[in-house]
Amino acid sequence: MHEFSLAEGLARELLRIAREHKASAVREVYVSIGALSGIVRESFSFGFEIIKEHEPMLKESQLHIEVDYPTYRCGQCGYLIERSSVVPAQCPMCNGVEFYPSGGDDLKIMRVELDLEEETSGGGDEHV
Amino acid sequence: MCDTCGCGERQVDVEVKESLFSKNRALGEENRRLVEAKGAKLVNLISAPGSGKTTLLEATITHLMPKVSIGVIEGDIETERDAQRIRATGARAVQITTGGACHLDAVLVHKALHTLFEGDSHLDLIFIENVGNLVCPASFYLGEHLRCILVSVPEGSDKPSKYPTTFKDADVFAITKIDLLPYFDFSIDEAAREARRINPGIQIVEVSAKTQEGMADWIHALGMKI
Repeated sequence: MHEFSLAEGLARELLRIAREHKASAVREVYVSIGALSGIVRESFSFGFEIIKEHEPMLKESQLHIEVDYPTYRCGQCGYLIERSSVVPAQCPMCNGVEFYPSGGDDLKIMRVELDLEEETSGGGDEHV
Repeated sequence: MCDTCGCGERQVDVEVKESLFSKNRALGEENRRLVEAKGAKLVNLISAPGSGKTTLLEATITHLMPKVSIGVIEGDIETERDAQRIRATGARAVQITTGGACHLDAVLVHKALHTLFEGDSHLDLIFIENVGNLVCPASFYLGEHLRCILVSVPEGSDKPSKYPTTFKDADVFAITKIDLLPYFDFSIDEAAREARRINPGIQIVEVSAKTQEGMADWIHALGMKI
């Protein structure tokens, strides 16, 4: 797979977000990986660990990964099997064996915690 | 760092909710608009190495040209070989050598499309022959109108159940090299059932470029007539 280049994409986005907010460091990084995205979580975090060592802004960051499971809709009766980690073998309602998956196939940055640079203007916060 | 000394450093929590595939997706849409503006249709062929993508393309071009003008974008890690094979049929071909990358992305295809349309050449149908790989190309939308997955008989009928991610967004599933069915334990039923388990609407065709069996079905699945 191409987890390393996806991790590079994450690092690029994090640096952009940090610049946009004039941050001094990226702290907590929350990422969602779809169970059907084909992305191997371990390889993705391993790639990010390597990359962050070379980026002072990311050096102290912590990557948190949550798995986004797809919902499967039975092609026969429409029953929803929510957040399934496997492709269902059979519909529990009608024994149907064909399903329409939705979601669970993306790689998203959900939330980032940043350290902001110290104010240099000397406490003029309220005057924007 | 300043929770102890209180020197004024602050933290901020930023909601992002942004896909790392969003840039690729946006450029994919641009590829689609470009192709549509030229009156053409874009087909993305995905399979493992050796499933017969190039051979099926050669046979397809022979059936459709000159009535239909065809262009091909060839993705390979190395060599111009496939593009040369395609050019020998009379179709236009652009080779992308990725130099190691396991898939094509929308940026690479965008550049290749511009090369393909150089000199205002008219094309009805454009095939993208992706890098031989049944996993990675599935994650990258290239702007295609039709996504086709090929599995050849020697690979085995368990491929759809082993690679659900690849099959879930496909429009056409072509089982290739069906002339070899007598020599392998390939179950068409199993392959079809497992592909439909994750993609009930997928169109399944059985084809052999060598014996020409099923070529009409394949061409029909592409939305073309012989």
